[in-house]
Amino acid sequence: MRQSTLLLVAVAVMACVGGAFADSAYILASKSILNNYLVENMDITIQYSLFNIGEGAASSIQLLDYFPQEGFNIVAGSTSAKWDHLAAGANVTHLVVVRPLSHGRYNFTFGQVSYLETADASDPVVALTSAPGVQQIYPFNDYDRQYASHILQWAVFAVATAVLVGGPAFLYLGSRAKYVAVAAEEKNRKQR
Amino acid sequence: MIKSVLTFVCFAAFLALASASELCDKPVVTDVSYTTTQLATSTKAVFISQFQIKCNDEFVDRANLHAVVDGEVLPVAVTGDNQEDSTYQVSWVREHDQVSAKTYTVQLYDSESFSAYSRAVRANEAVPAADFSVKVHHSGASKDGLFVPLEAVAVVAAIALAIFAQSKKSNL
Repeated sequence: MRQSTLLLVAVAVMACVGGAFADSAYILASKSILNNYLVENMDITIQYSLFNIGEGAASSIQLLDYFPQEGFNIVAGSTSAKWDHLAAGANVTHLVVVRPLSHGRYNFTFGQVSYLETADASDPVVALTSAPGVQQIYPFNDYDRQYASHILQWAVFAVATAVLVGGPAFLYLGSRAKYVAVAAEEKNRKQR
Repeated sequence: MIKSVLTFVCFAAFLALASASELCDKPVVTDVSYTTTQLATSTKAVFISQFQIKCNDEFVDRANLHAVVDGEVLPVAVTGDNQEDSTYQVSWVREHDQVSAKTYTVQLYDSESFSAYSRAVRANEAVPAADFSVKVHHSGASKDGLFVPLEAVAVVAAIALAIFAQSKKSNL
């Protein structure tokens, strides 16, 4: 949903101010979280998309983001990435996977994209990515209670049920067998 | 005299630049990869491959690489700070129902071989072989829990047991 909104905004901006960016690059960047649930000790997938909506190519593009080491482990990808070149109208996707080490609220703020607007520019322009904002990272127990398979708990329940139902059934069947034997014995004696 | 010196400097610089953009014949590549395995952690299937290249026992730094996966061209990012052992990253995203559990091969071209690749694609000819490739194995993303929830199995078993007991009781 966020991706398509950003794309719509990008098209609108392009339509309005496209003329001002002749031969110069203009990068819009989005940062979005691809998770359904944010749970501690479970991966969080973060997608950065960079769109060059200008009419010129961008060069020396660098994406920089930050996650505090005491709160997150980086599972895959890197929070700093460089590309040499992004053509006009082209886009780049970069992915990072992090794992939160505790639960609570965390503010996923914007990352930074710096790039040279034209081939002979000397100072890079710094753009900010969108920010997913404050998100709740749930404790692992809450997620596990709802979504795990609970095989061990059900196995214990099955054993307990088997004892409670099977015990009396077994006793009943045992004593019934004795009465059936006695009744058969009686019938045999009466017949003789 | 100056002209010949300049020509020599030009030629040497060109040689240096040309060799910097080319990889050696047999680069040694070490890679790690990641794909989405839990549906809860990502609404889309995510593929990440990070690798380092060594040529003649030295890390290849700031190479201009291009990646091709299943016919799609992807840019290659250079990650990390300005360190000597650059790590490169290729990442792409797909919808879960568009991917299957298989090993994806990422073909990697340096700038020269990539121009040959683009030319071949435009002329609809057979594409040249990659300079090297890395593999990303996707084992499929699954949701947590079993296919059939155990609560449903327990309910069915309880009903079956009740029916069985009832039939036994009525046969007394």
